[in-house]
Amino acid sequence: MATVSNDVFFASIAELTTRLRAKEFSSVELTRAFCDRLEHIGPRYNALALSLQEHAIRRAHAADEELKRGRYRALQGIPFGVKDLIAVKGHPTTWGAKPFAGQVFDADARVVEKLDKSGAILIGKLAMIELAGGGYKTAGASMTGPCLNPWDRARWAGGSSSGSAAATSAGLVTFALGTETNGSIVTPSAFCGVTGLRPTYGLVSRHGVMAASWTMDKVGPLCRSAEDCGLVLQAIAGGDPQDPGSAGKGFSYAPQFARKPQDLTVGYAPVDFEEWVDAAARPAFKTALEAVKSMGVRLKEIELPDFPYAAVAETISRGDRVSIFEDLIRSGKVDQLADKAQITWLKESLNLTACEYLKAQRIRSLIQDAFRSLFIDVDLILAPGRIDVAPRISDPIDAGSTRNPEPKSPGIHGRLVAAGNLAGLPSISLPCGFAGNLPVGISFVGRPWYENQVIGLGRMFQTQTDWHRRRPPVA
Amino acid sequence: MLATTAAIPVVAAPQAATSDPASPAREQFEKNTHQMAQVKVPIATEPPLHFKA
Repeated sequence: MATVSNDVFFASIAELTTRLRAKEFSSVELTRAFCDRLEHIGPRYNALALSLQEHAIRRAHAADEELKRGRYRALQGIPFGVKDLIAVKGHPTTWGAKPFAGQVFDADARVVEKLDKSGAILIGKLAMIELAGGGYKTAGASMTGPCLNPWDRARWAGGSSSGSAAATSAGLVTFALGTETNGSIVTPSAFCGVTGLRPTYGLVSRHGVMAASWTMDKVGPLCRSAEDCGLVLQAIAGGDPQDPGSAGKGFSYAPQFARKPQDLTVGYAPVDFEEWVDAAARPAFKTALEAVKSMGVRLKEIELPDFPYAAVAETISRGDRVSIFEDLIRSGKVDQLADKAQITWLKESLNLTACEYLKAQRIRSLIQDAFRSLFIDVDLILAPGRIDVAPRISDPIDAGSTRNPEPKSPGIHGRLVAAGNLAGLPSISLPCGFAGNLPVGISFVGRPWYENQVIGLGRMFQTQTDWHRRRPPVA
Repeated sequence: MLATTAAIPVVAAPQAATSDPASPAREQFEKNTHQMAQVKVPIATEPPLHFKA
């Protein structure tokens, strides 16, 4: 029996694939090593919702049989986890919330089916903010407790795809799936130092995935690199008649066909990097900006169209969530949630009027038009993923984004997440350095269906930097 | 003679105004409504909701 060395836990998909095909270790050996690590270390970070070791070992035996016969699938034998709002047949899917602790579905979510067909091996379900958020104010808004950051256990991993980011960062899975309604992939990716991809709305099926907002939810990967994001996205993308939001499009990862950096104009706001980011993080962001410039792209100073993005996103989110969870709220079971602010937010959302909701959606149409115009002038938008490092577990999660003195302009960082989600735009979050011992990241946002360009630029950034290869101090 | 205890009027300590736990959410929602009211939406603008017959 081959020994699986510790370096596999931080290896890329391509590296693991090469070693599996070279029979350096079997899929069963690799899977068992990852499962043991996930079960052993995952609870230290409150990152694990459910281990699926038995299920995984069965799959790994099948993968080994295929490898013996020379049948190679795209993600054959690669261990992964999913946020616990993605259904896995016959196993609990809790949505991170006590009222749904015993919930079991009788079918896999479409993305689980697709990854299974691609040969990847699901080893566990990962912790999340209860109901994927909505007005929560504390890191403890989860049935599994606050998810701790592998870089510093006194800090939060971010949300709502908390366990997906923490487990990837700590080398407990090779990649994980998360979801984003309004920042839930890009935020924990930035806080935990992993590469996260939010796909264009409608590219990845949400069939079998908890709905938080019908018109804003996206499923996407959190990985070790932009390259891995491309490989996973290729496996999970595609039309699905069972997802009403599906655009019916597929995705082929082909970075070789992306436009050259010299042909790209990237919009950004210098004030974000010079004044808004946390003082301790400024050297890292300055270096990151230099690395982007050295790739040859044209940087162009931009302003975002003037809209109340956060207000519009929150109003749409309220309207959708209050309808989705109406029974939970009216039955009083909502009081079993862990976060008081989230409980109040949901209850008060019953008072949202149709007029307000539709006003928000109509403003959203204007936002989409405005971004179409913006993307005539620039090909991509660059901003800090978050301007602050991960907050302490004991602090309110929305504290700390004020600056004294106030910068001369608002920049774009504070509005780009809501704007990008409202317009359904793809985004990649890339680790770009540290402030003290905590990772920080930048984000590229592209026009719809521009994933190859967004991933391609991320891939190029990662050929010039090694921040994505740094490992947290996991025992 | 039993000593009588003079009834000393108990002065209630000033209480903090009853805080309504729903207030922060309501205030945030009002702020949202106010911000959205500033946006002029052309009458022909439809919400991006999809229905397939």
